[in-house]
Amino acid sequence: MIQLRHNLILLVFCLATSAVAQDTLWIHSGDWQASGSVSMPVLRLNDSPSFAVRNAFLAWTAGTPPELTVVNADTVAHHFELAGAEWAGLDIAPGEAATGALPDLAAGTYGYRLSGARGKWMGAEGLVAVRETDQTHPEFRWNLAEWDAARVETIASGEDESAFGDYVPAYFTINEAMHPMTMQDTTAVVALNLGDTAIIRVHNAGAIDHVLHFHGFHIEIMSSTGYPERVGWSKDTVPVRSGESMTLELVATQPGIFPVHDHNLIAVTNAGLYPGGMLTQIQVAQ
Amino acid sequence: MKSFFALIFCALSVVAVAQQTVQYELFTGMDGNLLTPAGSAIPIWGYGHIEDGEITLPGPLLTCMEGDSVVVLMENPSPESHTIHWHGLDVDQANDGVPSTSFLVPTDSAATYRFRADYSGTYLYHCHVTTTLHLTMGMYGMFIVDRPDGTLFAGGPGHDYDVPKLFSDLELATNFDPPASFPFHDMRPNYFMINGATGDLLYEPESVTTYTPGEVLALRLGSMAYSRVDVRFPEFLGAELWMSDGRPVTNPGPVDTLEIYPGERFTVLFTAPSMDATGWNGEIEVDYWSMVDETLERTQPMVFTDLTAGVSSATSAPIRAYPNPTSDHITIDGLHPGADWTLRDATGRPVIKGRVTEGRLEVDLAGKSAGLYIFSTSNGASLRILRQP
Repeated sequence: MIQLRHNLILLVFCLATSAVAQDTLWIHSGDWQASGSVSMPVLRLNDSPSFAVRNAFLAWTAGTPPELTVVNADTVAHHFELAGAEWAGLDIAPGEAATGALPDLAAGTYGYRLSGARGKWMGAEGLVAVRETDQTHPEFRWNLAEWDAARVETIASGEDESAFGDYVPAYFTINEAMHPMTMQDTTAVVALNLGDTAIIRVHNAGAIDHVLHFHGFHIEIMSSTGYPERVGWSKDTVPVRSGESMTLELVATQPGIFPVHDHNLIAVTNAGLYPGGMLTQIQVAQ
Repeated sequence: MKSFFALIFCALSVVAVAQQTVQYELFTGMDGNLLTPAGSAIPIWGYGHIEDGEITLPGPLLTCMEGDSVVVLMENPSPESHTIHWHGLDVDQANDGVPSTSFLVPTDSAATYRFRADYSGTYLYHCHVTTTLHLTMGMYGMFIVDRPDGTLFAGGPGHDYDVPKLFSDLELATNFDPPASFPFHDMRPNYFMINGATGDLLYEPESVTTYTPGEVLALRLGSMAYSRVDVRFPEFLGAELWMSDGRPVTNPGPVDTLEIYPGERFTVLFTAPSMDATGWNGEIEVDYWSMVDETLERTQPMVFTDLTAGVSSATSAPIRAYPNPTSDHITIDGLHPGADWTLRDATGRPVIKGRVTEGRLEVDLAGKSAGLYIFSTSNGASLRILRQP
């Protein structure tokens, strides 16, 4: 079963890689059904001409950055940029496309996003993996975000941030999904065999800081755009500040099912209901 | 003084060799109260030692030695189910304290948690039932794993004693009316604590850390707050960060402002300075920042007192205690009749109080847990006592 899941992860990995090989992202607007009664207008960067709730995953091997084309299917101009890396970015007029060479970044995890209030609050932000040339361990990824429906609606209606009230995010997501839907995400649930090593890539696309707590394990920080001084530290509780990214290595030293969740505890809820939100699992088979 | 602490560590070495299994008997309650500086009470839920019969915020400080087996009996006479999650101790799934993957301890039942403390360091424990609510109500505590030789970790620096400081906060409206706290995504803490105390209470003897200059203090810092906590160390203290989350950091060294997010722990060492020589006011400031809107909610001090400082020595009586360490009774000489005395555990919580009636006092520690205690009097005398198993 675990081997099947690994094969599936590898397949997803290959698909994502092949998507990146196309070097194209589409800016789409669409609707996200956060809960049974709440739907939000959102903005996404997808790897196909069709809207998807989940932002695309960009990946390449260190030393071989691709050229990227961003197609703007939105109604306003956008600036595409990387988070945690120096790069001029791309300016894309509505209905147009822009192409540029991505920078040659050190191996690690980064973010991409549309700058400006519309991109930030409507959720056009995803995760970038720059892989070591010899990476062989299974890879998992968590793009973290939180959602205040009032702010999203404010921006979507054309108003600016001056119209915001207090920030009260009510939905908290990993890869644009809330628990228990996170449990269906094979790129997020860390399913391993005893003794395996996993690479976990984390980007915080939200506006607030999040703090991942691992039950059952300590992880090693392999890269960090926000805490470079912590590379090499072994921790069980890992802050990932807004806009920052980390690469974590986990060795499955004991069998069992263990939660991983945000210890910013408002974030383990869905519209105030516990448990929910930023909650997934490490599943280690004997 | 150094020889005294060397004696402590020798004693602890004996303890570790002789005591491979550490047992605690805790209970949970939902009817406790936390005293405010104004003297009013905030309703709390929490843990307590069964032998004490009362819950506290934070829960009892639990300690053991690296490599010890730990057995914790938890009785739950409260109206709701609870658990204990051993935060950072990497226990197995069965003992992890998560209702969906481990087990619940329902009302009027008991359960036993078992694990081994493989790594020295600073850890936490807390209830994992409806965690957003049960934490703000007060169901948490600190767990310190020490080493018999007094080092923080194998090959690491030594220290004279631990100074546990657990940061937390609560939302008053929630504690006074828990059902009304729903929805849980909008917790806005408005009461900020260090070891359960706030404001003027942080200057009370049970909150103040006493020291003698030259001693190496290991600050065991952990957070169960909803806020981010920033600890601002005065530069002249020479504070050094050595550990995080129960593991050595790879680049130990000076630290000025230390960010502590919910659930994180850090161990910081500094050599206690002479307050007379440095002019230090004995305070290390701690800022509580909202995790939602990055506003500064409150600043609180960690308060320290130099036992040799002029202001103290003017009123201090020279006292001595023997035998120290002790396993049952201890005699304290040199006391001033009429003074009030208090024996506190390592967290500063009073465990015995009394009034001095003559110059010599006998204190019975036979029923108390092993560990470090602080004896102090209302006229400024103070000393440390080690209770052996």
